[in-house]
Amino acid sequence: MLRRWLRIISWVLVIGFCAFFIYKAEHFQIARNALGDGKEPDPQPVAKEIVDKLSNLAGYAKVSENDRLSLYFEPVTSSIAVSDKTTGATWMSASNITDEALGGSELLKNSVRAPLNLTYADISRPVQDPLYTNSITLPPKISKEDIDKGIRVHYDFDKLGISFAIEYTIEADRLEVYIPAADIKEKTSNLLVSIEILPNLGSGTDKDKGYMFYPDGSGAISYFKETHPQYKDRYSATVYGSEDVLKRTSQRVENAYLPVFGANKNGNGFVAYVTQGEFESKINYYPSGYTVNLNRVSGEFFYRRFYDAAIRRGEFSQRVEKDLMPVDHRLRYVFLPKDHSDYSEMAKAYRSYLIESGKLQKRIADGGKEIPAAINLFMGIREDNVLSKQFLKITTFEQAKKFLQELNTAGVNAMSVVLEGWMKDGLGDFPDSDQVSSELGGRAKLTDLTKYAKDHQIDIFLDFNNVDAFDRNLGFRKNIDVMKSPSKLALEDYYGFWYLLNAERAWTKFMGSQAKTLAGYDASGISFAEMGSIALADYNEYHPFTREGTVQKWLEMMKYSREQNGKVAVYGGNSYVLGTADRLMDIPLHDTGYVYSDEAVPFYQMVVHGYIPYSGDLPMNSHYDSRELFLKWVEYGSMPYYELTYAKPEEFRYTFYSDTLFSSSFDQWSPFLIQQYKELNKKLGHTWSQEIESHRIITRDVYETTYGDGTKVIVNYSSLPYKSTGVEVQPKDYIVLKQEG
Amino acid sequence: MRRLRLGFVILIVTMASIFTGTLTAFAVPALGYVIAPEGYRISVPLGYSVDRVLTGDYENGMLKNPEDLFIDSRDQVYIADTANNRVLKMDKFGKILKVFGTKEDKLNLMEPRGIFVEDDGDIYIADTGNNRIVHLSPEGQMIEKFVAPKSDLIDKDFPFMPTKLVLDRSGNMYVTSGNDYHGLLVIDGQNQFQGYIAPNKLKFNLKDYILRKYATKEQREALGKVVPPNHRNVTIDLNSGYLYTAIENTTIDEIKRFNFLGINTYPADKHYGEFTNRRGIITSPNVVDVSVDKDGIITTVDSNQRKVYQYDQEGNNLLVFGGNGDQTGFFQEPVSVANDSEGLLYVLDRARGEVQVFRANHFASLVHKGSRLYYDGRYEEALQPWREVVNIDSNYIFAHRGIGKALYKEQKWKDAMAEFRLGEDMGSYSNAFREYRHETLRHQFGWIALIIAVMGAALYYSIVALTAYSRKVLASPAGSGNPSIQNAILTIFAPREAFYRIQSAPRYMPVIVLVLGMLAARFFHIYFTSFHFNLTRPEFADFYYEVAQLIVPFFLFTASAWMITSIMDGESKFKQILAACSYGVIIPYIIGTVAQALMSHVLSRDELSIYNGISTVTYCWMGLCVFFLIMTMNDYTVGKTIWVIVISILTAIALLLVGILFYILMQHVIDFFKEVFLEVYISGF
Repeated sequence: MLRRWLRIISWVLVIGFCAFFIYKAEHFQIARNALGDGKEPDPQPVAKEIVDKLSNLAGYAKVSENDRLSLYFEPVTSSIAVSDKTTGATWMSASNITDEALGGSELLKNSVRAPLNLTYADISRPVQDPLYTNSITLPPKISKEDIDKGIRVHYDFDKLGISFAIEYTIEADRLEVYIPAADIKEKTSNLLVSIEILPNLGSGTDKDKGYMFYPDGSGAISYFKETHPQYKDRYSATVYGSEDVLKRTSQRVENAYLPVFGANKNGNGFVAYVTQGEFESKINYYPSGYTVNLNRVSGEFFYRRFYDAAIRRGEFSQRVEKDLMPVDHRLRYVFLPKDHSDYSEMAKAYRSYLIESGKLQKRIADGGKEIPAAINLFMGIREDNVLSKQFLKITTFEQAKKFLQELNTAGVNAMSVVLEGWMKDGLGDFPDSDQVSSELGGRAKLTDLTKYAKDHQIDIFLDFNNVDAFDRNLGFRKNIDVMKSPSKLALEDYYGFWYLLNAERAWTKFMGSQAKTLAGYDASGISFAEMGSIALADYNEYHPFTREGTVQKWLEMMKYSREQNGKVAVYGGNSYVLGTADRLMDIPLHDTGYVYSDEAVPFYQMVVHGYIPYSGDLPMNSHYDSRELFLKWVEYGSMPYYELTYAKPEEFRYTFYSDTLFSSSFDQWSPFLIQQYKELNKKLGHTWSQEIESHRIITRDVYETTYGDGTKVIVNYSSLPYKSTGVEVQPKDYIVLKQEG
Repeated sequence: MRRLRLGFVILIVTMASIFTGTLTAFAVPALGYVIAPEGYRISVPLGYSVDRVLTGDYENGMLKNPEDLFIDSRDQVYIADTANNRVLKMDKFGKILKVFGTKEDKLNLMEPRGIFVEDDGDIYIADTGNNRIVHLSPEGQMIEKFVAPKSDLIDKDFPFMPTKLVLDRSGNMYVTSGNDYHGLLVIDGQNQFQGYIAPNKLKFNLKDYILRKYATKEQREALGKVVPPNHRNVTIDLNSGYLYTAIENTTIDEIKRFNFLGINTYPADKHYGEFTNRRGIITSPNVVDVSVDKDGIITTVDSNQRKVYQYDQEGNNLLVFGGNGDQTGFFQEPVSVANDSEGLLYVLDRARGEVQVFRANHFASLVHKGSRLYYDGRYEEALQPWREVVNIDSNYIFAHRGIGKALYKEQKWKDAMAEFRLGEDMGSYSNAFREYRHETLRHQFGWIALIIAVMGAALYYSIVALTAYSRKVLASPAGSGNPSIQNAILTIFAPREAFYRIQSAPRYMPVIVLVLGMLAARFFHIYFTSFHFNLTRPEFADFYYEVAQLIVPFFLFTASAWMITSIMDGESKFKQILAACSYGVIIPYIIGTVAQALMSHVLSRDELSIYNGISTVTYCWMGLCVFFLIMTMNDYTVGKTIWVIVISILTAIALLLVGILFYILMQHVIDFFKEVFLEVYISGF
């Protein structure tokens, strides 16, 4: 009897539960916020009368002042303005442009006057697209409080449930903008993605004179001009490069190596740089003709990233990270003196910041008078053959030594040599082994080579890659050892072949034994591949890292290796390596070449020259125009750069070396190398340890670089001679004007 | 490292593509490439760099969706500014000299899409929106209008809609009109229709044929009408009188060169565009314009790949540059290309509304110079530029071929062979080899004759000795001596007896040895065949493919032969069939393959029939052995043996199909489990 009842009760319970769940499922409602179903009317944008008056200082109140700058604040829109007593310039967060000159829609018209643009995403929606707004179209509640040297503005976007605070302070010649992460609050399903701060400060109309500077590659500028087409794209570069390193398909895009940008407008200018939180920042440049006719440049701070979440195999949907990255961001605008506001003054201002903060170390001895030749020697590689993976000896250690001896006898005294593919499996089997290849001569011959180099003051770096990893070398630990995306899937290339090593794992291995083994070869240092050209956030379950965290781990390895060997070299020049590296490689002597860029400028080189030796990205022997590249070296103060082999390129035609090395044999190139080395050192050797004082564009295709001691170098790329008072430069030639005395 | 990363992927994928036949795409930054005749890419220094960019100006406004570009004999640039309903005339630096189709001049142009300018400066505009062609004086005065010509020969389905046009020296106009696929309309100076010229033909397509043959009427209609591809663009070389056309929406013969009879004289059945497969996204070629410079270098633009391709007069690819990107030197939608008298290349980008002017870099100039001299037949003069090209890029195949040709002319056969080897040119290598062989033979006839005589005698006596040995073995009872070696020799000289003996005492050991020997022979063939015969080179061969293509048919046939014989009153067991097949098939294979590889070193491609004859003989021998084997071991009649062999082959094919099906199904099952694991994994974290 009892059992029967029990049975009935349990059946009732089961059916009841089922019914309950079905009911719940039928009536399930996604929590929606006000935006989604429009329960609340949108708040009205700030009235047009107020917006139109933003270019008039009368509506502003002075909130802080020092000897040079005054900071003004407008309470309705929270617009700010900085006026500079020495130059008479007023820099405003709202651009001063008429609507007809501007063109574009209402939202865009508001955005060019807004002190900040906001990107957020709604996680209650099935598709989490980025949503854009600005503080004029969607006015937040604004409250202000005075702090030392400035103000703190508190923004509360009721509608979105997002609130945060921004501090503006002035000091000497600079405006500091600080966004503390601790003050960011989110109440609804709307999550803050990014804040673009002061997007219109320094904006230039087509009629203004001047240009914008942005850190594309070596640096690029875009003039304010009336003749321009409509652009479909803008410059928007993640500082230190995009994170899509393995999915990159299109043309080479140069990194924003430095978190810096600047504006030069009607003789006045500023340079702005991110001093904190640069790993989660972007530099944007909107050319006139991109949606509206206004040139703007700005920094954008990120708190979350979008990622493709795997729904199931092969199907993805865009999601935004749930957790906010607690990164404090600090941006500094330095206002330059009148008529000293071009890009080379910007570079100087930024360089002095880097030196003061210890982020740039001087690695070239004062008085250094010899420009070293940068030579990369390609040694071993495996050729896939039907029966065996044949190890091709492209350059053995002995051949390398002989080659260095030859050069040395010919008068090439200073050299910075990088050995590639010296390890057991040759180049291209990542992560690299720390064991030396026996086919190339083994440990004995390698130490013989490094000893020879040490005796003759030649730097030899051993190329070492422990960032990239191939599927076949990862073994069973694949899922633990590699970097992952926020979706918890490994970062991999399309073919599931190429991965990246988790920084902690690489670190453990390196500190464990690799560093010691590598130091045992007695080279001047290790050359770390990739580490200066990519920075990645890693969502590995066991050792997660932010971008900054990954980079810190890498830097630790570099520093440790530097202690062991004395020097360290690195591929790529992201600004975080400037405090550690003794040699930079793969530093572009050009920008990406975006259609809206008018000139590439050697901004990066101006910051680094005389401090750290650097070489370009394309060697002389693969370049399409040897004269042009030589002139670039002269103009950009770069080391002469070669990628050489002992074997003739035909012998490794069927390996991937042939993608870049199609003309590389010693015999063919050493006469050129010697001649170019001698010419450079004869004319420019004394500039090696000096800073670049300034750089300017004299006319189309004619550039002038000035060094610390007043030496001027004028380079003429055009096919016509350049003549000016007392100066004549032949076509495709250069002259060096040394300061008298 | 970035470059290497991309490069490495290219290599992996190119290697794969050699087998699968699909091409790949990964642009190597700051470098260009050239497509080798076999379809893979060779990187070269960047061929062209941007000299300047021409756009509209502030006064006259920017270009809006411009569609055509023309450069006249005085290097003035004409642009059909289509969406602005006008035509611009600029000097070569981009200064606007004149605008046709303004409010004032009352020309009322409507979406002009094509321009042609005569040497005297007269302008012809394909006024597409107005369905007419306008002839203007250099000052912009209307001279005449050409409207739709009247003729019964014109297809009524295609109203006159001129898009591109050229004029020859006698004043005939060649016009592309809308989607008219009949060819170019020829219109004379009196607006009279002279006929269609240069029609494109539809290629026979078996799949399409079957579909149409067996489809119902409704189904056929649903399929749509298949029409030949039409000429997208036309260019004339006024000196030679050739018409060059670019043909869109086709995957073969994208460029044609017509003589005045309308016959295509450009190498046909070749690909002048690229198929790319980048991360699973396949891009097909779409060649939209073609231009020819005074040296006969043909330049095309592809608006799908967004690249510029250069070809020589023989249809060889010389250079490729450009690509998709919002950077200078790259394109968003290139639609037109033209040369000026200086040799600069102007490329019109429709989406960007600008013309990029490219200047040939040193490397490209050398290539052009070399190829011009080469195709004039001045091989010795071409030697110098080709040598310089090789200094800059020692992987540039055509330069090696050019050097080889010159050396061949200088009768330096051995050096020429080395260059042809580097230039991957089997035919020319073989020619040089033939001459070299001839020369060697002449100079050292005595020694060579002696060696041949000695080798011939040795071969003869070894055969005699082996025959004697086999007789001895035949005479002695089975089981004495080493049966494996005895059987092997008997297979050659007395196959029936050999199979009897194998059947009576089959062993596995020789099977293993022989199968390994078969693989060894195959790899010997791959490694040691001379270059001019070797279709499978060790650098490109795939180990698993090579092994599978020998092992799989062998075991499949053995298994199916056993199955069929056992149901058709056969007497042999599997072990017996396997052992006998190993002897009967593999021994001839090894002998034939090795002999062929060795012979390749003394034959030239003129004697290809001898080379191929060796394999034919080998296969016949193998076939005979199989025949005797089945017959002897199962006591079949001749007819039954043939019948059993045919059925066995069919069974083997059936087994193969089943195997493939099973493999695919297993793949699905594995995929399913992977997916489940992935889902659990994702939701687990």
